[in-house]
Amino acid sequence: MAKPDLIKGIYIKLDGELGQYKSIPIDKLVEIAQSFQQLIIALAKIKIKHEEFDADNFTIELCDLKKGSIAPAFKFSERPATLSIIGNHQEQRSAVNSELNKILNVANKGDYGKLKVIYANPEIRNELVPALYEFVEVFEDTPVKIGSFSGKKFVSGKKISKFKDEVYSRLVGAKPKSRRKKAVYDEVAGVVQINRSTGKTKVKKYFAKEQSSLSYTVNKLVLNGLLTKFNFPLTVPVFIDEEKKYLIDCAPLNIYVVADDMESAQKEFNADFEHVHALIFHVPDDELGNTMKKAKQFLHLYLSL
Amino acid sequence: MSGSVNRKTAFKNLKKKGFVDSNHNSIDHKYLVFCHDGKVICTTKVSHSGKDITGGLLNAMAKQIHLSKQDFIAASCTIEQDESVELLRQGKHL
Repeated sequence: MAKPDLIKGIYIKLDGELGQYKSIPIDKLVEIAQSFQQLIIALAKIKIKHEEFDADNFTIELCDLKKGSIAPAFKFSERPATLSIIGNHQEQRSAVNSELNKILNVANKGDYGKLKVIYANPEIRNELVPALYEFVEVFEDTPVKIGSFSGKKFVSGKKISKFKDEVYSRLVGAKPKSRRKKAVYDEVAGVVQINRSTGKTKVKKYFAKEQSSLSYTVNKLVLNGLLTKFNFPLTVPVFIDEEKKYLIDCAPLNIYVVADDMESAQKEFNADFEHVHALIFHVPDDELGNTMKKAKQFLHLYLSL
Repeated sequence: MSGSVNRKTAFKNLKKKGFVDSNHNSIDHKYLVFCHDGKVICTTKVSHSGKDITGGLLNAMAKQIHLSKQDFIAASCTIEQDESVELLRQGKHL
């Protein structure tokens, strides 16, 4: 079976969520291409004699994009401008391609610890391992195979297995310098327009977190085992603090909630409300301290007929 | 004084200061009630699990029992019941 060949073109087949739409986001394609390019340069640096090394000889280009999940293909550039006059670029590329196949076999088995045996020289490992780690990490949780196409059939696929941080540390004696950026989400308040006939929604405007104040409105709760409807809705403010915790303040009832998300905060508020109600709603005023007396009056405002 | 209180220590010490178990509890929390001179003064809750009480949660619990954050840390660690009651009296919560 033919080995992946960067001279003819290597396909990186992306399955899972990333490949399911049979297209690939531009920024992801750029990330993959850049990390692959860096890996090829690192391989060239360790394989080609210093005096003959010219990074331009190892420029790769996007040469195809196959569907059926999605599989971009890369190959060494054939543009004359990228070829330097130092050394024999064809021999050099062939050597780098062999080296690439060597590490693809390692990635296929996920046995990255073996790189310590293949590259006994720590200087070489320091060159290669970070580039390989970055290349593996760029795919995040996407199942990936590297190979070629025979007609419509994807062949000789080498799997790209996860590269564990502890293995990285064993290989280069340091923790990985850069991890893939995890998606970070902010929650904001906004105005959503809903089309009555189609049900489609559109965000008309939203407020930055600093400008927004969320709120929670409740108009019925289970109290003493009975679903109890309020005389009118109770709305309490919800804040998000610097630790991203959701805070509900209801000073009249002396309820202060802190939770990890909005849903938990609401649930906790309901439980606290139920507790305060059970504790004081039917208790005579002279058996309540000042704060609890005010809380009882507040409860009666919402719950007494 | 550090800005955190061990959850179990807080629970134990709040009870030493006169807080009693509420008859009403949730799945996640144990509610505590403070009574003085036959009156219900305030209530708070401690989670059944989790880490130390810090940050916003510390503020929330302090507000519920009408103490400053520093006084709450002291109340759940060192100061005596009489001092806690005096602090509540000063704040006109009794």
